[in-house]
Amino acid sequence: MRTTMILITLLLILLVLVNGSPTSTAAAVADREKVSSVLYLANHAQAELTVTAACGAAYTSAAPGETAFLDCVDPSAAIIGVAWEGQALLDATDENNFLVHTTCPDGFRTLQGAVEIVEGLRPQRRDYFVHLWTIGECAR
Amino acid sequence: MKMIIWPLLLMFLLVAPIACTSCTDDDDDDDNDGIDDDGVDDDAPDDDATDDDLDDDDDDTPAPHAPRFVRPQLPLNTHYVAASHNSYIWRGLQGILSQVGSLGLIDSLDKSQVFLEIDVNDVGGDGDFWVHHNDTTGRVRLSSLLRNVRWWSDTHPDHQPIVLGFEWNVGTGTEEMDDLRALFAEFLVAPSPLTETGPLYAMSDWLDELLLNLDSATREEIDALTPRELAWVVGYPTPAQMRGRVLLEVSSEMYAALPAFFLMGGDGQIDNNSESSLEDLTLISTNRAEQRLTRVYPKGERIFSLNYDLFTGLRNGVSNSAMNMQWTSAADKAVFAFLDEDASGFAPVGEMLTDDGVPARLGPPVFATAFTAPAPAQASLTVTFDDSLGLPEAPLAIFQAIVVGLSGGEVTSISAPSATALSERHDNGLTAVFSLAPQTITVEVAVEVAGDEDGYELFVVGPTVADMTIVAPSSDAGGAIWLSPSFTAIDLTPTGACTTLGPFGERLYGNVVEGKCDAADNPSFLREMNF
Repeated sequence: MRTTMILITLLLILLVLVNGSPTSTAAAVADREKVSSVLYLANHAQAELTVTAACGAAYTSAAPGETAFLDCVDPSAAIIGVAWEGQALLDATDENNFLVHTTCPDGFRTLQGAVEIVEGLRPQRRDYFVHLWTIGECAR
Repeated sequence: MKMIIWPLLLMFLLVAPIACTSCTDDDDDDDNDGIDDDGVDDDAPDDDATDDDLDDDDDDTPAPHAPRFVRPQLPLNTHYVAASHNSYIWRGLQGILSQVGSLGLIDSLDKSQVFLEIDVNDVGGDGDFWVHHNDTTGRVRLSSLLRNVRWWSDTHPDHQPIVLGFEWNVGTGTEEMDDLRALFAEFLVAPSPLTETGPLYAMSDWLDELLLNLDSATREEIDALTPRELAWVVGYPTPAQMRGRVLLEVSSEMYAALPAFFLMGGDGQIDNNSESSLEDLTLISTNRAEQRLTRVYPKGERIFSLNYDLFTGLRNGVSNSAMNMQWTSAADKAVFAFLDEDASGFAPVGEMLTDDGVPARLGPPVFATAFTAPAPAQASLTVTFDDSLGLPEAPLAIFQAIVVGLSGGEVTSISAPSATALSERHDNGLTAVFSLAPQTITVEVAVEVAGDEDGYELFVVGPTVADMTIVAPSSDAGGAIWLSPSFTAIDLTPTGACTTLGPFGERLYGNVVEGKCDAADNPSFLREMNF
């Protein structure tokens, strides 16, 4: 019971600190302006292929079943593809199904999935999920 | 600010594991030596270091043969349903660092959870709705969750049925219901990038299949019933019938506006009654008596939950204990007893261990028996009905007879000359559905089988079925079947052996002691019965 109370107290302290106090509002706004969005890449496809996402200079990859993420200043110009193959531009601000074509050794393949936008607790905070559901065969 | 937060976070991470040492008890013989050596199999795997049969009975006695833990051709309300709530909260500490989105639902589905609860708490103003947890989390559009559930369904063909349950906090006006109907139509009915038809399983789909040959006048009477009344008259569909489909659980009020959907446990609209409801026998028994299914929301795997016991609810007759499956890491969670190979996400309802004044029958009772028939043979059943068990002034009585060859032997026919044959299903044995006048007291049923060296098992199910007798060929051969304790066994002899499933779906064997199976701390078990 005592440990539980300590944990709850710690949590309450954290809650106050994260949400900010009136005197820290200016600093919080300044911090927020520096925060870019996070772009998540979830590889749900059953193909045994690692996929990649890039946003500006940042880059990440997700093996089958994995979810990776990277900081992203301009999610409308995200780039996705299969590792070591060609990539395609994806507007991750368009919350809908997507279908893109990428180049591969034998021609092209099709990547399909859905973009999901999540509004954060903090104002103007948005994160972007790219759910990749199918990876087509590489074909001419 | 961050300089203060990170040391605190670090301290919290250090303290949390210490606080959770009571989460699992590997020393429940209470001698504080860290070893459970009291010889009572009441926790995780056995500990005698010589028992190699992978059960938990420490007696090195392998089971005679592997039973089928779940029979997917029996009605939904003869099973527990592996359920989660708040799992749209993907991970993080709720109220501080939580992350919402479809990933939580997808994780739950990947872990064989077949009921997903979604909190709809704001209108979007653009035909959409916002899902969040009372403004203590971020928010995500309902359309996005539905879109990704559809992707999961499309990419897992023939999946176990998925139930989406809604905590609907935005009203049921015409505009809201029109918008919701449009979302369901777009994501669960219309073509998707992968499939031409949507996975939505509506009440009418099931009634069309079950009542195939019913006359139109009686069908109209059936269609006019509420879902709750339907549970008393026709019961529930089977998991097998709903494979590959998505069901929606809504409140009675929503059902009145959107009649294409199922109403299951609770009233669709769920009070977050939490762990106290696990012990609330009045709530459980009332719900069970009214709808033949019930559900509560224990905190479950949630951090700071102190691991409230899921099984308390199950033992008290809760068919759907929706675990809180939001988590703070990507660590795999044990999902006790719901990973059976035949119907992952479902487990047979175990013994009702409470004395709450409600008969220990969850809606359609199951009368079960078995008989030997190595060559073509016939068995005769007399099924007795009690219309007081069902809906007063019901338009008809319905029962199902299910016969399965234990080694896949053919079932030639099931007939009931004085009843109306409504429909048949030929998957996993033969299921025949019959209707009767509601005041019918008994009906004779003839079963013809082609022969099976291991014999046949036979089930009779129906909301008003009160008793069954059987005349079947006798043989010295005999055999064994495995039954849920809540089934009524006819002419079968219990051997005392039982089996259940462990946290990761492994099969555990033991003996029935004082109404419990000692193989594991799991109320969902099967008894071995000789015939």
